[in-house]
Amino acid sequence: MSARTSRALALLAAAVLALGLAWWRDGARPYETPVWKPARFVQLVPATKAERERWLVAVNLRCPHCQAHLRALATRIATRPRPPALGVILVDQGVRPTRLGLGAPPTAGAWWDSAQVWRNKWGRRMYGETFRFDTRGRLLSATPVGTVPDSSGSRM
Amino acid sequence: MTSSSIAPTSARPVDLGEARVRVTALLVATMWFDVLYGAAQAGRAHTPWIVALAGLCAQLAFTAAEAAVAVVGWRAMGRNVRFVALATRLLVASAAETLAVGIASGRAHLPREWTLLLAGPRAVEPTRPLHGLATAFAATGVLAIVRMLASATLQARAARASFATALALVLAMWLVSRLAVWWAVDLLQGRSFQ
Repeated sequence: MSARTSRALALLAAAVLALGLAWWRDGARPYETPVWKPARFVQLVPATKAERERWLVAVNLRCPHCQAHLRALATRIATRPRPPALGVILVDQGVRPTRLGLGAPPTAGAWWDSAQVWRNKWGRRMYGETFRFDTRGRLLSATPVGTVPDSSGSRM
Repeated sequence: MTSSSIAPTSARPVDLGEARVRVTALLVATMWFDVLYGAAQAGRAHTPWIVALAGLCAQLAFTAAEAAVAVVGWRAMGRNVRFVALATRLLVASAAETLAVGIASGRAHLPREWTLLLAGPRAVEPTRPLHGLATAFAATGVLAIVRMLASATLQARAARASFATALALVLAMWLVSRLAVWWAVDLLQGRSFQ
C-alpha cells in the first residue's frame, strides 16, 4: 500500500472514529425525564387553563415551522369539547424576548427556558417537540413536530 | 519514388465497453433528473426543475465521493482502478435507486407492502424519521440491495477482482456510511431549524 493510500485511509478512519466518539459521549450523558415544574422556567404569559392536561411545545423564535406546528395544533384542538391547555417553552433563547407573536393563544402559558433545562437537563433537541404533561406535571408523551400528541402518532 | 511527409496516424483503439458504460451513466443521470423532477412536483415545490437540478448535482457529488473512497479502498487491496471508471460504474449502479426514489415519491402506485419491500421505510413514512438510526436505514429495501449487487459486479469488472472482494468493499463502505449518517443525524438534531 502506498503512503498516499495509507494516509487517505487513516484520515477516513479517523473522521469516522471521531464522529463515533462524539456520538457515544453525547449519548452517555445522563438526562432527566421531563417533569413540568414551572419554577424552573420564567413565565412570560400566564396560564389560563392550568387545571387541564398541558401540551407544551418547544419553540425557538427563529424556527418558523415549529411555530406553524403550534398554530396547527391550536386549530386542531380548538373544536374539542374539552381541549388540553396548549403552551410554549421558548428554547435556545439567550435573552428574554420582548414580544412573542406566536399566532396562537398559549392557554398553558408561555415559558422562557432561561436555564436551558430543555437542552441540558432533559437532553432534548427537536424544535417543535410537544410535551404532554398531566395535571400533576408528569410526562405522558413527547411527540415530534407535525404529530398530534394524543392520537397515536397521527400526522397533522 | 516519393516519400510522404504526413505523419502516420496512431489512432487509439476505441474501448467500446467503456464507451457503453459512459453512455449508460449519462442515461442514468437523465433518469435521476426525471425522477427527482417528478418527486419535486409531487412535493409541490415552486420550481421543480431547480430542485431536480440541485438533487442531480448532489447525487453526482455523492457518486464522486463514493468513487474517491472506493479508489482508496481498491488501492489498499493492491488494485489500481481509475476514478472515472469507478464513478461512471457507480452512477450506472444507482439506476436501481432511481426506481426506489420514484416509488418513494408515490409515482408508482404499488401496495404498501411492496413499496416498503422495494424502497424501504422512507417510502411508507414520507416524513422525516425521528432518530439517526431510522434515518440511516430509511432507504434500505430490495432496490438498495440490488444497487449494491450491481455496484459490486461493475466494480469487480473494473478492478479485475472477484465479485466477493468487490461485494465486501461495497458492503463495508455502505455500513460505514450508514453509521456516519446515524451518528451525524443524532448529533445534528435540533442544532438547525429542523
